[in-house]
Amino acid sequence: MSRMILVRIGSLMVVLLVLTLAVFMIKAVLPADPVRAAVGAQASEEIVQAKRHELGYDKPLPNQYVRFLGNVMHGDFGDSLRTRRPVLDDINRYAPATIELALCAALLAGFLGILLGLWSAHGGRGSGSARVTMLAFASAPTFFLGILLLLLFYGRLHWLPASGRLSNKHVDSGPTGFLIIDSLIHRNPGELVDALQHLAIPAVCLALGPAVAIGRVLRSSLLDVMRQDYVRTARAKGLSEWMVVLRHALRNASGPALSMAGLQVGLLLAGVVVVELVFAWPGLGLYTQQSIQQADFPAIIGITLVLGIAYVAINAIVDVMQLVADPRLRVVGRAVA
Amino acid sequence: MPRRKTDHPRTRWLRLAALVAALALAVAACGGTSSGNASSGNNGGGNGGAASTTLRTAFVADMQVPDPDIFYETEGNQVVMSTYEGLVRYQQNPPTNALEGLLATSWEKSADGKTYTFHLRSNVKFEDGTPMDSAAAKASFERRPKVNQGPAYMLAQVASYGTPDPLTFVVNLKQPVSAFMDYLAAPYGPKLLSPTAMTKYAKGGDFTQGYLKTHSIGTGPYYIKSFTLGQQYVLAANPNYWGAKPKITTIEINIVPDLSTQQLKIEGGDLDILHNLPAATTNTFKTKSGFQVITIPALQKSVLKINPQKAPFNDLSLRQALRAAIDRNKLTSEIYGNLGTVSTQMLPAGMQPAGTGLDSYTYDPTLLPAAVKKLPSSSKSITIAYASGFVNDQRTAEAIQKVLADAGFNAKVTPITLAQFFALRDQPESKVPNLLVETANPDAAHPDTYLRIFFNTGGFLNYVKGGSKAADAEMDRGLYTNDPAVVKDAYEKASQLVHDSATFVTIADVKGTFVATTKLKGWTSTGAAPLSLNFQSATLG
Repeated sequence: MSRMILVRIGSLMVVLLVLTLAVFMIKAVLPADPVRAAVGAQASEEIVQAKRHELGYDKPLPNQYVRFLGNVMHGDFGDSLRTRRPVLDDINRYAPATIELALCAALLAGFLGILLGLWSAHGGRGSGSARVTMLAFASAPTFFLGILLLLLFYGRLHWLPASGRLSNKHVDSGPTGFLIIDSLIHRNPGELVDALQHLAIPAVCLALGPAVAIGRVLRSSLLDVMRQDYVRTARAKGLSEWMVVLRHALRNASGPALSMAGLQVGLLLAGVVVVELVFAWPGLGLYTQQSIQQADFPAIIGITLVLGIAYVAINAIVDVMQLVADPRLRVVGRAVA
Repeated sequence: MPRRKTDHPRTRWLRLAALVAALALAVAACGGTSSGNASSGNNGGGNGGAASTTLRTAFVADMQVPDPDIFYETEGNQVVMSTYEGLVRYQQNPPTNALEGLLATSWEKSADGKTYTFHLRSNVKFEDGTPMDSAAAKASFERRPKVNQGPAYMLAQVASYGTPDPLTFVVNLKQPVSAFMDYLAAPYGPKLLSPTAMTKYAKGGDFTQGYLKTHSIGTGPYYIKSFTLGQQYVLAANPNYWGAKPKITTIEINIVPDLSTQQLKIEGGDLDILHNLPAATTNTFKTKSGFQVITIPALQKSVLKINPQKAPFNDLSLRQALRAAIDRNKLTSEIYGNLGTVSTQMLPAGMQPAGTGLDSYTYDPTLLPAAVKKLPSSSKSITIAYASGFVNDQRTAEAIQKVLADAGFNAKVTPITLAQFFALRDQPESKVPNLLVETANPDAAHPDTYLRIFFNTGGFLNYVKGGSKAADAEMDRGLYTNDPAVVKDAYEKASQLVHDSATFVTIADVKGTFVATTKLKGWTSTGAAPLSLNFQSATLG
């Protein structure tokens, strides 16, 4: 296990270096002028050059990269050209919203995926049409699905709010920035319900695609496992079908589904950008979109690093979960090592 | 999967599904309707029965910092114009380009045009209670070049300031600048800031920039109560405001990037006014019960920019043929309906006297196909760019694409970001698109503020480097003079020379447009500031 953690940390460093290098290369070739975008169209050339010098953008790119890496080592990602605050402060401000949304969506995707996998493998009444319906929703572009859900639950039924994280009647007073946790800390059920209402459509929108993917892999894996001898033995012992599936089949069938879940949660981070735009969710996706529009490279690099870390961490967690779910992998791992 | 008769898995599944559905419904039902505000209410018209004191609107993105010496874009004008005031402003009711006093009640200009003396309004206080006087004006004006950001150019010709008494403020210029008073009236012009707050909140020689990222220290009818990036800005009525107290005591500005979501929210009663909807969507609100479409004169012009630096449009006759193929009447009608008027002048309507600075040509669609036939096939593939997110410009570009295709061009329409737009001037010619469509506004109502930035060969937003050196010289002649006749003549000649270069085809004068609940009444224009209204005297219901 410790070897795996060391390997993961090593690979994380490599991934982050490659990511920062990639963004710097993009910065070099992209025909965009972040300085002009920051100071305004009619700013004099003198002002533009002064700002360029202040940011070090008049230096050769390798020098800029080395300076950037040095700053990052000291926890300094620079200031956003757009918000004029430290990028790290901005990320700290926006990240809880994204993490809360992504976590809820991931949990929902896992829950729905398992439900769909079990149901469709079971072949009960309506499982086919449920599969087709979810597939149809999952195939729809995220922005289209978002607008569709908004039209239904906000525009037509008036059940759920359209945007944001909280109604104006509630104010998040911290301390974590995660509204569900904060409302529980403050024992404020009204705020909790309000936060969940705001979370509902974006989370569903984000979760449907991964849920279908996880469900389909789980179904096929379950169908394979249910043909195994040990399952027949379990049935012969008189265990109920429910117990056979939960105690024997599900755990053994979960490996491919967990791999898929890791992949899907990574992709889910990409989907967050679109969902946050549609639902005005004040998270990293919104921050990213606004930063890209103005070529705010310090912010773009900061977000890239954070998302890179998140992606690698998620996959490491999935690896651990796979080891827990399937002890045989530990043996194989040791044998290979 | 085989099933045993003793199990009832289907029943279990149904129970589980019912439980999940019940939980979801409970969450949805607990909070009732979707209203995001205690004062919000019914659909199709915003706030419910009684008059509301809270106005709710939306921005598509965070504004720059609300510091009046840094802020230099359009989204966010509502915040700066509501919280700060300058010495003068453009007349608001009815909206014209004439100047009227704001924090100055009157002013005089010296005979040589180099000295301006402003008589300040008495009994004005900043939002923190500090009295407004000439020392405050001097400190505010002096801050701008120290901060040295985009709008600093407006005071670049200032030589010195004088404060002979608390209510007299003198500005001495190095040379006459015909646009100087317009700079002062511009939305990005110098505003007055509380000297007490400037001193109190300055940190490490930052000229209070850190504090002003989220706070205001002006004399406007509102102040910034809260400023939460990515979420919401709240403006509240300034208790120390010198004028009539606003009836709308709170303005909530929500960040809602998606225009469809904005539209749904105003239809759902969660917003009271919007300013970013595309013309086609805005026009649909004219017939919707409970809504009004507000239009105000705005210095916005939709322009096709033709790149003369590379083939095929490095040929004047081809540029003229392209211009002749653009049916402005049809384009304006299709894209804007009555939210725009067909352009007749090079500058936005109202910036030059009627009948001057004309952009006249005869529509003739036969010239372009004939000219294209003579072109080598390598010159027939061209690109039309527009700023991403600008739906009206996209539609204009697509309409022009059809004109070009009919003439034999293979034209591609491509969106680019604003940052890419700003970098075009530094790109090699091969990377600059052949054509660009842009709707933009100047900083103020003076002709120089449009001509110099968009049509001067060295203008920062003259991406295609169109126009001519002769026109540039006329602009300089018009700016650095104290003679109104020279000003009029110089800018008229500059406009004519730019027209003759056939590098810019003006299409439409675009009105400032808002969709609002019918309960909103009493607003006024904010002069040359796009995307904002003055709500000081407005009511809701």
